[in-house]
Amino acid sequence: MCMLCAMEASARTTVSRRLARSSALAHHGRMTQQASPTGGRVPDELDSLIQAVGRNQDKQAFRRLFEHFAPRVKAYLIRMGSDPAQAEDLMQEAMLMVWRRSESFDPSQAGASTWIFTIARNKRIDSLRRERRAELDPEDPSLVPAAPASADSVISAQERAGQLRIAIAALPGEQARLLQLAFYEDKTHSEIAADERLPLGTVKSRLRLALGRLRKHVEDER
Amino acid sequence: MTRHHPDQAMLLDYASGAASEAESLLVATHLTYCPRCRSEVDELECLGGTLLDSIEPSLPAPSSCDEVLDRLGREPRPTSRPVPPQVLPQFQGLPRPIQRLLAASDRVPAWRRVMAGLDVLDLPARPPEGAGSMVRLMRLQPGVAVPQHTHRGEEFTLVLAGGFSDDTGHYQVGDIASCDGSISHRPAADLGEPCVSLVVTTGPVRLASPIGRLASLFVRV
Ligand SMILES: [Zn+2]
Repeated sequence: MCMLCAMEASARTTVSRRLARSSALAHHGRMTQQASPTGGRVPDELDSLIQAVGRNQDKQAFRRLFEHFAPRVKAYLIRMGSDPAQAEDLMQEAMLMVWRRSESFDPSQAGASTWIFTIARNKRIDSLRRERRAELDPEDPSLVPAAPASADSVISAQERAGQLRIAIAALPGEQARLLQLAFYEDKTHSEIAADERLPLGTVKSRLRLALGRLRKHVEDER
Repeated sequence: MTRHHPDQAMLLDYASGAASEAESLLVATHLTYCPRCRSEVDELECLGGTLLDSIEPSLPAPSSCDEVLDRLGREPRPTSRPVPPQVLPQFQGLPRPIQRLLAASDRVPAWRRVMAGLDVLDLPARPPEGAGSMVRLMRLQPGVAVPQHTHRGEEFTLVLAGGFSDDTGHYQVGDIASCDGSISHRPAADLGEPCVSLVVTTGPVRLASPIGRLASLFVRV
């Protein structure tokens, strides 16, 4: 769990959480107006749809989720190198996984888009069959827990996503493009460096710069 | 608290899905011990989700949702808890990413002796590209040192139990030591308990002084 989400979770039982959450949502409402260029559903609604599927096996909720995410997941898979027919199959597999895993979805840990991104990412890796992927197990007895954080620094996963969207839009083109390459071209740092004819160190430092800017932007918003 | 972390590039490759199986094993295992890097990976995954939101959509087949709902109709209720991996008793203290790999192996993994005080166990993970790459567990008895050597590629050593020191520092549970061709080192286990670590190497190791038996450490059999 990320530090921000850990804060959220640790504050779960306190009254201050409710306060923090409602102010985060109010803040978030402003964010989505500026930062939803896709005209999609607002993240809060998407979170509730996944929960409705998880709790009640609600097929209508699933249809609405599908409507929003299936075209994005399919586009992601095409960007990652699948042909359209494969992408359709894999997208269906990923959406099945969304149904199966919906019960474990916890919006305080990750927003709907982030959660579904990780499902699509793992589905694609599985499909390649050349590799498995090792995953952190949150229930691992060896897990070292995060230190509890103070409740006043709580921020919701949604609010963070909203801030990130704005921060990405503000990145210089070159840095935004490298991030896109890293996430959507299935390229490691070394492969990006080879393709762009840049030294590996340069790619690493530009990505680090981009991530640093994003982090600073998100922190300044707090 | 871990003090030696994977570099941000490796965390980004893990979050984006570009990491090799061996690298994902290294990162997932480190994350088990390191709340700081867990938080970092969560933020990077959040970035992945945010980019997914802004992607140019690609329309599914017209009957797509019905097909999925149809398949769902034939499924039992969703179940989601990950099942703990089944491993031999001697592997039970290991972090689950490593246990899952051991459980997936079709042969029984066993330690083999390389030299007095040094055993290795090959893991069935697919290593990164490159001849001489490997993924294994290494166990050094207290106070024992691996003979001086250097690497053609990169080597990552993640401590799972005990600790060790080399010219670059002291490493404890959860810490990752990384070495490349520029470093010749002689890792030595702390006194007290055996040092067990996960070792991922992306290229062959070059011994500073050739010792026949030790070569078996670095050649996949
Ligand atoms: Zn770390």
